[in-house]
Amino acid sequence: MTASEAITKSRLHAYWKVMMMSAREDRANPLRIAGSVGLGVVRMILIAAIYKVAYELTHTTALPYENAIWSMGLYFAFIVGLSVRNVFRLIEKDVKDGNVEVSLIKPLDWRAVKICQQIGKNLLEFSVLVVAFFATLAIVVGFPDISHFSPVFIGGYLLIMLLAILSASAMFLMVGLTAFWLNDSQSVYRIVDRTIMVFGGSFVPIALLPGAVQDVLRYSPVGVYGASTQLFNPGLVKYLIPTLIASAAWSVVLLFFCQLVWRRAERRIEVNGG
Amino acid sequence: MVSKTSSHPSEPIGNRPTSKLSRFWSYARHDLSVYWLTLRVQLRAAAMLRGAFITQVLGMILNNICFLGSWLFFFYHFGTVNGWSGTDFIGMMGMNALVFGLVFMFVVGLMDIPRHVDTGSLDSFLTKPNSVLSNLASSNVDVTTFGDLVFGVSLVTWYAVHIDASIGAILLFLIAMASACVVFFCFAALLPNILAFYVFDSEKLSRYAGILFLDAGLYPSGVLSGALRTILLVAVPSLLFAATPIDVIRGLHWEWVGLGALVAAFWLAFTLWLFKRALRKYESANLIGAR
Repeated sequence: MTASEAITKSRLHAYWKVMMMSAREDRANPLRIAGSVGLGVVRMILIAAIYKVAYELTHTTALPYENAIWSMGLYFAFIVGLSVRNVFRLIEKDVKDGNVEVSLIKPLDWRAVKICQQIGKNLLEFSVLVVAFFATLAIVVGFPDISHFSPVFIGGYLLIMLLAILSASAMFLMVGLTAFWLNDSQSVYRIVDRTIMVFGGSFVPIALLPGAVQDVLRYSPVGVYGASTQLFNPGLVKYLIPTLIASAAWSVVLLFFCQLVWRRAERRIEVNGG
Repeated sequence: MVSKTSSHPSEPIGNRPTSKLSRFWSYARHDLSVYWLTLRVQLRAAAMLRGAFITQVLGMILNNICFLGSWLFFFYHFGTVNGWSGTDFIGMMGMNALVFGLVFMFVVGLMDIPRHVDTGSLDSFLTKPNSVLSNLASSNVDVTTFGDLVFGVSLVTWYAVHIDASIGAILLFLIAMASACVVFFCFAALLPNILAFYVFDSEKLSRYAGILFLDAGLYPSGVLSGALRTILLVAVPSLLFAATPIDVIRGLHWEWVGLGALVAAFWLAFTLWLFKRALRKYESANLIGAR
């Protein structure tokens, strides 16, 4: 093993440790996890009930009822449960508290540490949420139609998920960094997050959106994040390759812009001393 | 400064009103004046960062538009469901934002109860000579509630004009809105945060409980019927703060107004009683700090 390989390995190990240390925070309070998972389940039951009435009265065939509800379950587990988006809060807090300058002298990349902390913090809750949603939805709405599943589709979907985490991290890091100029990045976060909510399949699965909207979404950064909730949309099979290419391209573009914003933000850092 | 006409609880006993009712009013007046003054100070502090203030208000309006948009896609796809169309949902969202803005503009400080209880900073609220609840309520402001209020008033006004609501329906609607505010105060502001007195580190849990109540009101749950509708009207009365007032304004359902008032009165009495009881469970943390 070369020296650079050893350094990379030890750094990766350090990031892993950061993630696992954050995961311990969740383990320390099982009641909180149980509560939030329980509430998530109730929320899903409510959405399932509303959709049941709508499906029964309109006999829509665009997407099977079960698949629609499972898609929304995926949105709430992956996007809301894992909460990569909340990395902006950690960034904003450090900017407001003036902890950035302290973090910068450490050997690990401050932004990467924040992402690891955010993912680690929600890892257990996300895992429990996935299990709870699986059990609840299986009982309440039944199993979805998975006839479109194939090894290539699953592999492609997993890649889309990874790219979604990457692009979402870059997107919300940029949102957090706006605190350098605005002091409070909550409003910018709201705009980005709500756009994802509308077009990411939160309350209406992407497959039920108007065709033109779906076409635009497929190639937009918002759609890239939302694509991670389309496991149960048989329509994704047809667009798997374009979605993958768009996901990869947007990840690169967003990472580039994130770096650009960070360079600008760095110039505004003031060391307080003391 | 506190109004000179209000009788301060720390005044010499000889100067205090003697009858129970007048004593209650004098305390209430005093608490309200202190509450109002504190809130004004908080508002001024929040408005000082003008850029952040404006972006937050506009951000909240945009946020609400996005939420509305996501469910409008639902009505775009399914059309009218159980008598509810996209137009009714716009009215419901307006009502929701209006109640949210109205309530949280005045009591958002209650959302900090879990943090105060966990860190022991509740001590400083307990030592003041006025109501703990009003003290807590005015301890913080959220400027985004202005965005909700503007959004809510605009949508509700548009809806009332759009459906050509009669004066009687508007009057009943205003009563239903008062009940909605009370129910919302109980379920979104106070009840979830009381949990902090019983469960450590309950901030997220309280937030989730509040969100769940809010969600059930934000979704087009007016389309529901049967047992779930009954639960959402009485046990977790989310329908009362969004869907019911819209039902009232479009159909003069005075019976919903009556039910709303009854449920609101019950939950208000229960919530205040529980808060008083829960407060006894608080243990001081011997926190030393300047306020």
